[in-house]
Amino acid sequence: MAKYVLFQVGTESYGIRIEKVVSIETLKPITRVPTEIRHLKGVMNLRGTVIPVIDLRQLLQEPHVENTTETRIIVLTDDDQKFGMIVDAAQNVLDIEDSALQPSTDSDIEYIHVYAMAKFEDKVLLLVDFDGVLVN
Amino acid sequence: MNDNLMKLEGHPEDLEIVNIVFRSAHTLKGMAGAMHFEHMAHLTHEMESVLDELRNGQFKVTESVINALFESLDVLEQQLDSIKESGTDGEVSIDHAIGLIHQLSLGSDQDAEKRVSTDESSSGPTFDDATKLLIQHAIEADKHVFQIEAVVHPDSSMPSVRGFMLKRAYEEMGEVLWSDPADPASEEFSGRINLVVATHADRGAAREIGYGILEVQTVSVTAIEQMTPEAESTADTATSKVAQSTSAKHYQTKSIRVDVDRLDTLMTLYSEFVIDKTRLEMISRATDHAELHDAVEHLSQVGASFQDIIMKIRMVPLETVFNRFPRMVRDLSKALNKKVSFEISGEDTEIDRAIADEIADPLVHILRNSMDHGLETPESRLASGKSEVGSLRLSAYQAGNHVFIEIEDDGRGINRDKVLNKAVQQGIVQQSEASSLTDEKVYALLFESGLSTAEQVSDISGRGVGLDAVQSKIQLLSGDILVRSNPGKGSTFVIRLPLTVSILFAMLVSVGDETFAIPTNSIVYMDKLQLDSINSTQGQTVWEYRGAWIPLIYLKEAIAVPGVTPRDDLHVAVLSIGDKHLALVVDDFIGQQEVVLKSLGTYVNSVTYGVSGATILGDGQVALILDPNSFIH
Repeated sequence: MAKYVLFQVGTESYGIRIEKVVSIETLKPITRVPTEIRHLKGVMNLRGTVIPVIDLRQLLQEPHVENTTETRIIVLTDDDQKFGMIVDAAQNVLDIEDSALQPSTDSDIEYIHVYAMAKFEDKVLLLVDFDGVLVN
Repeated sequence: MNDNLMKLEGHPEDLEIVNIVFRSAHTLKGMAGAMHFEHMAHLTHEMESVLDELRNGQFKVTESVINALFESLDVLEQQLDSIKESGTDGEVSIDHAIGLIHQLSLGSDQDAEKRVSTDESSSGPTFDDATKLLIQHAIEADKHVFQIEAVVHPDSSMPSVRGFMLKRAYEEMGEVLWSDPADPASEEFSGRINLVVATHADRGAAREIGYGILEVQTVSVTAIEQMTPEAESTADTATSKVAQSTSAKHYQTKSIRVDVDRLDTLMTLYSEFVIDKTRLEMISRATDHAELHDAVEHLSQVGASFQDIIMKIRMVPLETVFNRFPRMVRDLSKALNKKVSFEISGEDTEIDRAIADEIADPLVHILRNSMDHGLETPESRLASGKSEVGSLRLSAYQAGNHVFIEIEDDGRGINRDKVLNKAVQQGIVQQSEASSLTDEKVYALLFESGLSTAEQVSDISGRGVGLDAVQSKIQLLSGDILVRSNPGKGSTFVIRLPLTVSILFAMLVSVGDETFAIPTNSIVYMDKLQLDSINSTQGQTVWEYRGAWIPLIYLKEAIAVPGVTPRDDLHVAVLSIGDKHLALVVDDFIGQQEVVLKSLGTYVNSVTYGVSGATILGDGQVALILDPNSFIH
């Protein structure tokens, strides 16, 4: 059994292993950086450290929506570098039995590794990993 | 040296021993000079002069000579300890030892003796010979020496506190050479203190300072204009001084382990303090409130000391960077089929953690470069009469507020003519000025991007690939790099880095809704943009600055700021990068302030352009720090 942080982008629900998550933040001011990378939204101040912020909607090729009070930044680590990930909402932490995992029918999108699916209430969760999102 | 001095003491006539000691002093001086230990170099220089005179028979080896040399030797030992301990030689005073030596030289110069003995029969205090020497030395250094007698009011409830404050006040004004009692803060303090102070301040100022302390009843200041030490008794004092200074060795470092995250938190808190301090300074300047001025000024001073301490805490030994290199060099030597003996020294030299993190890549680059292009194959080394094993040395040391890192190889060196030819071909240097360039200037061309990106340069000159990247990184850390070379014998890259870079002065500018910081040290001129001084040549917009046309760049275009509405009241900042200038157009100047440099991290650094770092503003928002270098290319 493992714990997952549950979040939404667009109409889909996703889960990520809680070990990967540093914290979940409400939306903070993001400073744009000059870059060609479209999903690099900018940088933000995380308690005195400057970290990059990735726009997950852009990465998932979801249509652009305005931020709401539900919008969250999930702070993750990859290879000791922290980064923020903008999601439309993030509320729950969920226990999922390993036996409840099913192989994913969705294929990977760039930077997003969808490694399994799971049922939660009547929704389907995509369990994802973002390894390599900070590798250029 | 110690042993030989002892021999010399036993055989004062033996000039051969003098010669040996002279050579040791000379070698020490050379090494101290090369390593920028100025105090040590100064002292060894003085020792060398005395020994030289002994050698030439200008005066005889006497007990006082030997004592002065032993004293100097002790100071040298303390300096060595100090260097081991803290990397600097500045913590040990060399004045006394030099005073002794000077006094020897003076004594040998009978004609120059114009000194008048002091009137010691008067009621003034009597000084020991060491103090007299110090006084004499201070007078020779064109300082005013005052004998100050201050009396604390008998009704004072805390005479020892006043005594302590008096002494401290004079310590701030100059150097307290002598004090009776030595420790006025002790319980037994009678309320009367006698001091001898060497200072650049005048007599009136010296009196003012005494009266500036609460409950001080009288202050009398007498100038001491001449002082003759007695040469005969100096020997004894010198000996006792030696014993004293030896026993004064009490280096005991106590340390605790602290989590790095806590240090970062401390740094972050300090940066917030800096922001508020800057705001207070601005408010204070804008108002006419004397008490506020004083308080803010004191706050600034405390802030400066605060910063100093935090910076020191953040220092790490360069070993953390160097320790990966032996393996790298070994692997590389196998891959290149070259034999290399690799030596590292000075790995205990400390530097700011942020710089240590950033300097690794440039060092890898230079080491590879030296291995690849500097050192020859074993066959060609043997053919040119060298040992088949090449030598590569990486050394680090601290001097003043800088850390130096040197990478030295004994390879083929840099061919000046080939570098120059290439530079002329590429139009970096005019043919006419080529021959007049110094070697240093020519080697500096290796760091020019135009020259070094050309692949074939590495084959021709033996150097050059990617060195421009190395230079920009080092400049970003506020350091610089130069290369020395001796054709056929090898090259040395010398990198100079500041001990700390985390805090810098920056001008905040705005473009559209965005705020950026420009390091103040790169701004040479700021004004409103006069549209009629803009011109266009060869497809580039240029601007007239002091009679020359310099490139004009709109920041909003250079870093693609979105949604900027055009306006005609723009501003321009002229940036100086090396010997080049550049006019940068922004909407407004917001103001100058101290900012704390934050790293953008490897990922953001690698995918962004035009920025070198970030800082956090008073409102918690991140502002990017522009990299003026990047706008040049």
